[in-house]
Amino acid sequence: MSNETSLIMKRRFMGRILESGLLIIAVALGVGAAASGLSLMFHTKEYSQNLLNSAEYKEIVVTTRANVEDMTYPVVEKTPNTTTLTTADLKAGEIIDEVLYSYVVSSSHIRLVTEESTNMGFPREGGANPPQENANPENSNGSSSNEMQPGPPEGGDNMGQISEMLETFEDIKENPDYLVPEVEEIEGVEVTAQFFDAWGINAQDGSLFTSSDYTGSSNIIVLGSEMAKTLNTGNYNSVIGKKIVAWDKVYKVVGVLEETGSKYDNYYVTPKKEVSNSFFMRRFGDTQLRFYVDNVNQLDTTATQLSDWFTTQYGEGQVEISNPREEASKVVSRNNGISFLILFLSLAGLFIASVNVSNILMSRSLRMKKHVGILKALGASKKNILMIFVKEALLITSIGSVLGTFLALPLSITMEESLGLGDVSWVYIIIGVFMSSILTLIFSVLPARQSVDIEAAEAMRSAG
Amino acid sequence: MITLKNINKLYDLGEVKVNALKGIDLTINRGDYVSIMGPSGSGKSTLMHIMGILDTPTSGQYLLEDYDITSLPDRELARIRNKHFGFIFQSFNLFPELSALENVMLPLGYAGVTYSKRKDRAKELLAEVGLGHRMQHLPTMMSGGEQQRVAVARALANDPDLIIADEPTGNLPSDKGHEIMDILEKLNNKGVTVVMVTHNPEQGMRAKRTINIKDGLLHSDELNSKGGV
Repeated sequence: MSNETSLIMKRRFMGRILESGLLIIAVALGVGAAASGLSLMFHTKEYSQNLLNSAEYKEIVVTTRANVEDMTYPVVEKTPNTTTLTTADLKAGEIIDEVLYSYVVSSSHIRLVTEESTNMGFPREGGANPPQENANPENSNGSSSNEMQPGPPEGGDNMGQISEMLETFEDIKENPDYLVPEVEEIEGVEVTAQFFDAWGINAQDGSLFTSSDYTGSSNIIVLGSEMAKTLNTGNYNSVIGKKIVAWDKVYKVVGVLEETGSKYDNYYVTPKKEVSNSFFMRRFGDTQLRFYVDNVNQLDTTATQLSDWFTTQYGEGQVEISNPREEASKVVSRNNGISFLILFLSLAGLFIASVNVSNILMSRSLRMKKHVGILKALGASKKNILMIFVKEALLITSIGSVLGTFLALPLSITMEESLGLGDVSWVYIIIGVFMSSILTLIFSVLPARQSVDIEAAEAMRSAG
Repeated sequence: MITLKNINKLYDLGEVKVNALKGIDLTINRGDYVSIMGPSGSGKSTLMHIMGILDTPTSGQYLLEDYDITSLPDRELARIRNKHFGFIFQSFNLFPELSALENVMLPLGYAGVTYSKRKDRAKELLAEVGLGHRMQHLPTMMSGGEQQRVAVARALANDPDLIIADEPTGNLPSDKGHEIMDILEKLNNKGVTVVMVTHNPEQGMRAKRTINIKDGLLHSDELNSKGGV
């Protein structure tokens, strides 16, 4: 296209700035809505895929009826418990073929010694009692079985080891061997070995537990990626080998987990000890046994098999078996439904916007009819003429699309947050903008084809 | 230069079919100065449009330098209009968005001339038609005579072999009309072929050859004794 022809278009565009602006806004609204709708759909699909593939939704959870309140998924009735599940019951997983991993994940928390808590009475001198493997039975009698670490003990019986090592809290604070957290309590889980296999979690720093850690008496701890950052107030290069002082014992950090994107990033993990004492076994028996099934189609049948096994072991109605898949499917289908509805509405918006843009451009090109005739007489080919309109449509579409992208961002954030899909993905928005821009461009170029094909003589006869 | 053989043009307006041209045979020689005359609706404008490849005949042959152009692709036809033909219209047909200079530069752009050369050539042409002082003006700020002179300069931009003028003085007062006629005559004297449609018998007689069209048929084709004066 010659420069002078571009000048004509530019001056016509600027001369009708209101109309041109309206066109751009229409494109921006259409593209913005459609891009966020498309982005939402892509994101929902990915989220659903990840959700259904995540280890969390491949676990069948077996729990005693008494402890159903610890379960995430709704349970219909509750009967007095007479049964206690133990790690020994994990052997059910070995019997059933479809179960790939069997493990225990018990939630727990650790109360840390902090500056604030020491002011309330950090025991400077204590007895010479050896550290206890588990909670002091006297202290734990009334508490839930998950609460393995009791709060600050009144008598300070358990503090022997700590107070022996540390005269004051200041000692810990200045000692680079210790992590001095600002939080009073950290949450985490006690797990058995196959947990890491099922979730596919590795250590990004240090190591995971060895088999002896599950039986030995060492107080070791592995930190989730986020928790490691939280506790590393001293900004050490690595937290491996550092010690954490809790009210009942001193933990040694042996590893930091790689980022998983799950709740475990903010958790610590300690090995679940195999308790040999039968009294503890009854009293603090594991509440939730987890059986990981890789083939999701087999979840239902495996759940039935597990149910049969536990019924044989403990009798009818003693354990509760939950299949998280159903819950996940509900979430997935709800999200799908909402995102499809929004996609439909936003595409309808794009369509209406595009038809209007197409209409206005049609009337613009009709007003250009005489120009087309003269341009042809002066030597413009059909292709030259078409390019004029394509350039105009491209200009309007691209400005509109850029504006639409900025419109799509807050829209997507709002929608995807409300559906709990996590962070908005720019890639999806860009793909959405791209797809809807192409559609708008096609709509914008269509009317130009009519103007291009008329004979120059006929075009020049029209007013304009 | 141009040979038209049995040219027919049928306008299909739905129920009404208008036979604008009914088998026209005509030859325009290089260096000719031809006026096409005839009453309104006789088909003279249609003939001129077909001659300028602004319209396609329903049937018949168009030979340009003995070469049949009827089947040429659009790109080639556009090139012929650009390089070999120059058009002057009754209503000037300047682009109101462009200055006089830019209007003249436009066809040079389609011929692939660079910006600075386009500009120089356009200035030269506008100076030739006496508008050297009004180059930056928009057509709306010019009189009809000035506008038509810009249009003439534009038609001459690519040194055409044929000037096709459709009632070039129709919208001008007679003195301004004379100016345009003088320019056309000068061009013809330089060897440019001129084909002009006119209503004005006096102007028609100034051409070397006058063709009369009536009802889509060639009524007469005669040389003027006074032609070329």
